[in-house]
Amino acid sequence: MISPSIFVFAPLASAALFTALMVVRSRNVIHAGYWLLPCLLAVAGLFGSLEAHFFVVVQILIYAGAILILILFALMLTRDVMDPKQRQTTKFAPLAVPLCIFVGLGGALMMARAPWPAIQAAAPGPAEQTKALGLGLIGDYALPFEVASLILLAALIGAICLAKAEKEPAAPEPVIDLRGEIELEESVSAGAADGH
Amino acid sequence: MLSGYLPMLVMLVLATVIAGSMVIGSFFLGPKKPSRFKSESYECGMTPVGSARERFPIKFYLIAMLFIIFDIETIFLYPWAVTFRDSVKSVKMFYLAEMGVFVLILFVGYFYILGKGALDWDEGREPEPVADPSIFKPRPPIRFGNEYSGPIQIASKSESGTPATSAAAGPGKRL
Amino acid sequence: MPDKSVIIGDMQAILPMIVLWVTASVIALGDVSLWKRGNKAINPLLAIVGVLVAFKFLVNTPRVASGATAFAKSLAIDPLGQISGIALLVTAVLSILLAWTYLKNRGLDHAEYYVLLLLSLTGAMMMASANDLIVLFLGLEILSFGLYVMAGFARTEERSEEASVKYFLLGAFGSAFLLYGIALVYGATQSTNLEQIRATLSSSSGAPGPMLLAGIGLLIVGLGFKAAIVPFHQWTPDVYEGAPTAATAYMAGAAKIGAFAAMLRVFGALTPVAASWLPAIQILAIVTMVFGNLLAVTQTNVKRLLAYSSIAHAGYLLVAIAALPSETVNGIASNAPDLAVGGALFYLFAYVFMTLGAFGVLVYLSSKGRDVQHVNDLRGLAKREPAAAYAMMFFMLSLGGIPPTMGFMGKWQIFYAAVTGQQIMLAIVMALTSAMAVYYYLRVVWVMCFEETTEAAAPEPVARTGAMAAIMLAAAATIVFGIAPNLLNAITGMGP
Repeated sequence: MISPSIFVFAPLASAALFTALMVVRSRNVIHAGYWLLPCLLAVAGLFGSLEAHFFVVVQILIYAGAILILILFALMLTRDVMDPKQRQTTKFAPLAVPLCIFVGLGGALMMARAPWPAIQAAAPGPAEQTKALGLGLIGDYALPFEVASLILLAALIGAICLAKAEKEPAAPEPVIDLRGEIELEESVSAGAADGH
Repeated sequence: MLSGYLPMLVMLVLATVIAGSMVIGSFFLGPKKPSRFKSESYECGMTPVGSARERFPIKFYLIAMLFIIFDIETIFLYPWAVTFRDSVKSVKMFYLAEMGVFVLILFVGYFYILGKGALDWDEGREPEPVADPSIFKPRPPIRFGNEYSGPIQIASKSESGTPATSAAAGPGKRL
Repeated sequence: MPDKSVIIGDMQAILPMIVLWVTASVIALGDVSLWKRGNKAINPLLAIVGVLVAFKFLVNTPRVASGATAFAKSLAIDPLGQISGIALLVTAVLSILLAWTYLKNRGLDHAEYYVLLLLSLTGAMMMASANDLIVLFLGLEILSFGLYVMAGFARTEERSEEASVKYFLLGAFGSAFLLYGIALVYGATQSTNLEQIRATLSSSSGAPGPMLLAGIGLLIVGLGFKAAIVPFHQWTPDVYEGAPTAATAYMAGAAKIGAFAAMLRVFGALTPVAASWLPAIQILAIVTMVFGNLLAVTQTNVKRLLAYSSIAHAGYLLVAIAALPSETVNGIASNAPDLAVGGALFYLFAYVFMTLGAFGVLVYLSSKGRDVQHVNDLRGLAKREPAAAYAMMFFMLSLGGIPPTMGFMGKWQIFYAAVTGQQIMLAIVMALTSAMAVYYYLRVVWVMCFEETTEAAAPEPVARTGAMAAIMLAAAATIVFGIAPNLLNAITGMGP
């Protein structure tokens, strides 16, 4: 029996798979970063097809909206991390194909055959779902909820600690890819060193 | 199943159609008087040709990271707010207190980054006193590896551009 | 809205963690406002005070046999959580003392270190008393976040940066495995609550389904990453070597205690399906003990040596976990599970004292321009720094499991639990590999005592009081609790 939901699921799932493959196959990291956007959106669509409406919003707002931007920022901050001309696979790459197929198909089979509990009722509408989620957060899952804030605090302090210079030494020039820049900087710093 | 998303889909289609028709319409219908200067990406100083992979201060990244953390906090506020609105009065204070603790934990982080100056753009950039004045000697002109081969040809009758802008776009200009 | 008495009970259950969080917040905020330009010694002092207050609260909590929970059953109030909490707080006190010395001598004296240490400690304690897989995961993440940053705390050093990135990438992988495992276990049992999982599993008959098996496998991988079990151990030597020594010491202690407390809980809950995961744990235990000790033999860097030694110790602790499901032996009810939990907890205490003490000696000897990590740096130490050298000797003997040290008592307890639980094979491997380990521990002692120093006298470190205090505390504990193990049980309320 084919349920009509397959017509929503199949295109979304294949889009997610294809874009994910493109993310890892792209030779240019920026391209890989941009392929991530349709991938994340397709996953948001999958959440939607499962009627997890709140997570559609979360997926789009946090993942596509914020985390992807951060990833692109990071890619722009780094240079030459990936040379498009260089081989990006090792000699074990052919092994990965059967392994991935095995893990993927095995996982799918396992999920398909697992005895799932029968669906008791139709999923509630978006408003009720969000309300139930909120009740969970302040009720049974109050501790995980507060602890999540603690994680964010630890991440915040850790991020500052790693990314922020204590005192930015000697006002870095806006570093541009310029010819002759290196010699110039060296002569300047040598001059400064002599002065002290 | 997904009927709730139908308005969004309609909106998406409408937005695409309207925006697309505007672009395509102006492409076909608009008058065209092309000039070299007008077809530049930026008219005000940025060198339009060069590596797109320029490095920029890490501060942007720091701000982006901080943004994500508070973005996630906002997401948590969302279901809580829905529950709070529909809850009976006797438990409202309790719910508020729980969210208060959640926000308080992150507020510590907020005041920490404020005090740390992570949100100040120009903090810590006081130039060090330099004893050797030779450092101030005029620098040699710096050349990009891939700048224009020649000065920009300005159309004889430029409507908007002034000579100052054209000089700014010339080679040797630092960003 | 829950009852008022319930709320009070919940608050009491997490009181030590609240104290730690408040202390961390005070340090973070104070450092950017009140004592921004003042004396930075206030940060470690405040941190120690906070940990001691938390310690006081935790020790004063009445020991409940088991079954008590808080926060809608998501947190367990039981001896396992409380005692591993005490072990974590002991780790914290020692590593704050070490950090005080180390950071000052290396010019890294920033408040963030103590803030992150306290926050990650909160996470580790949360993890140790988690009764719900979600809480366990969140606790693990807080613990890991702190450790990732602490590993890269010497930002200008490439090695430290490398350690941080390596630890972060592999740790993120480990967390992903763990989370996937939690999801699959949830799918198979319809609950993330460990108590509920256990009840569901014992009531269901028949072989566990493939989804549960896959979930358990992923849980083993995820927790194995954190606990540094072979073959998920590759990050350990590099991270231990690259991280600032004080951070390595804390990482070695806190991550191990958190991971093993969580393992004891998770596998305790999975006991009804023990037949499916016990062989895996047995094989992992043997592989970990053998390879951890074998690889340690060739190390010439003391930090790497201690890293492999910590892997080997993780193997011994796995033996305790393998003895966990032996609730009945030959049809007779056995006390092997209690012995295993007690032995593992005692061993964790011993591990903390001896490992942090050994790292403490390295911290004690390091100064600004000189980060002591190589075995050769210890040459002739007995003449130069007799106190540090003899302390180091005790730690090495204890790590090697030689009586009358705490390391021996811990190994004995786990060995006894393994024999009671009919894990004879594991017990034999444990005894053999322990004997093998004595070689490389004694080599360090040999170098310290019988080889002449070859290098010029190093500049005197700026401050070393904190490290000395930590070493002495650890050495005293190693000896005293080695001779009188019941004393530790009396202090922590461990055992019957």
